[in-house]
Amino acid sequence: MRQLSIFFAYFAQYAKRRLAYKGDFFFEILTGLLGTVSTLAFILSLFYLTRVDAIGHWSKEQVLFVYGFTYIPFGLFNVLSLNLYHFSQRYIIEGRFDRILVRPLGTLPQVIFESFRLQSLHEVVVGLAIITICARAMGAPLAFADYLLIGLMAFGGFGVLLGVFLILVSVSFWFEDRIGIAPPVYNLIMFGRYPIDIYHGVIQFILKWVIPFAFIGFFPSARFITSGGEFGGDLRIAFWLTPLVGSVVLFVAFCVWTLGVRRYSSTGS
Amino acid sequence: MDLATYGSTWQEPRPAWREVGRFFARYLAFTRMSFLELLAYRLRYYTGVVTYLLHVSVYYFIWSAIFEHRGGSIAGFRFQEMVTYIAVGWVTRAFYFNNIDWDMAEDIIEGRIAAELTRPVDYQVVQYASALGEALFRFLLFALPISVVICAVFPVRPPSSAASGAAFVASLLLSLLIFSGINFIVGVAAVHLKSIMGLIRAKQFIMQFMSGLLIPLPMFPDLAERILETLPFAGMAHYPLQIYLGKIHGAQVGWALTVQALWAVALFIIGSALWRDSTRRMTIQGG
Repeated sequence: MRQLSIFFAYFAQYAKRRLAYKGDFFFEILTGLLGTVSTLAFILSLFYLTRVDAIGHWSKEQVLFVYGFTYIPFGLFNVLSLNLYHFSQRYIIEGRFDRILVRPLGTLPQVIFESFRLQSLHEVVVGLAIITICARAMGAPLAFADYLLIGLMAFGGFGVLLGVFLILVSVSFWFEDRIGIAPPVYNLIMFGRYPIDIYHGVIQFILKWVIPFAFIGFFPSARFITSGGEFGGDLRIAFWLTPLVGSVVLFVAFCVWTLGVRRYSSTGS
Repeated sequence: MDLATYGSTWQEPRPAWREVGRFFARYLAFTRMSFLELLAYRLRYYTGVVTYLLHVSVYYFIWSAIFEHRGGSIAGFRFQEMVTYIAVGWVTRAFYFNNIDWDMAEDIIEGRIAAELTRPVDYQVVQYASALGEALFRFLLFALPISVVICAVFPVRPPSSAASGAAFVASLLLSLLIFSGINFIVGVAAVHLKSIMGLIRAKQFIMQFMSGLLIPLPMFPDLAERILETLPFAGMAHYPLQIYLGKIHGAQVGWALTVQALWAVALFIIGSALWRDSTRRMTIQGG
């Protein structure tokens, strides 16, 4: 509960700072929106400007649903992720982490919430808009209950994203990250935005069992893009497993982080 | 002053070629500097190889699935050609890419620009020279390794002929000039805007989309294709790749290279004018 009150304290600080520069905030949402639109440019122009109307056996609407869905967990992740990208440089190498350690508060919430990007929530809105449109285009418009389910699945995907990058970041408690291992993993997210059966078996395996990015878009969308018989067996199991996978990854990440912090403070670096 | 002192200040008039030599020597120093700087951080580029491999892979699989379902060709592109298109497109991006806009924004925001302006060198040419150094570095330690890896993994075809290969190289050098020119102009905007992050992101979006890197321009509707072909962005991917794949030959290649060259020059001139105007304002304000 203490952690929760810290969260609110940080958030209040952040909100105060943000609202002091209202113009800035809206400008950042605008540029953020531009960035988001740019990631849509490829797939939208592929389907609507060229003669391509399917990828594999997946129709336009199905692919776009999966792609659009990924914006929801990704937007949530981006709200908290800024500090993670610079963690190794800012906190370990520049020694800011020591400052965090001496505070009588949890390290993880501090690092995560020290850079809050509320404007990234616009991606959640974009994602919801896209899947709503696609579902209607497929003849299966989303009901209120569907949105609740989507919310649950999105949290699963969010857990996977946050967990994976927390683990990556924790590595810098053991090794100095001079080569930058985050960018390749970050680019792996691209793979999770499309139906994974278009990939080579090895890649599918990695996306399901190693770095489970199949759970940030494809699996959580499965129920909404397939109908009847198609949505069976493994696909159905994977769909319902999404929240569990997210929780497990997040839990593992928390353990790794805690171990890392312990090691960091014990070696007195 | 007396004749003796005056005589000692007399200098031989320098031949023109030596002036040119000095000019190049001055700016090549910046090329060398940028090259060495990047060399010091080359470790980070190793993961860059993986990143580019991932980019090529995801588009490979997407197009593979598209053609598997569809068969045949789209706008004259068969699947095998698409594979080469994607691979070569990204490898060349690895070559001509730079962050001049970002570097300039930092120079301006951190106030270094005042010092830069007092130097006896043209800031714009310095940026271009640094871009050249970066391109050299990228060619040797980035684009080459990436192309080795990608060609080992994917069935990439060589240029359709020796002539198209040579024209392709020329086209690439012009791409570098165009890219640097666009970046420089974006960088100039940093003088007037608080943050050009949004502008940079918009530029990336426009480039990727309109250059033909992700979707070959011939796949777009006719009118769109024709408009895009006249814009500078087409010089980043469309023209070099069309030349490489042999989809245009003879006079058309000459025309493509001319369009690229014209844009390279135009962007330099525009950038120069914008820069001079922006910095004049700066010095008047005594900043």
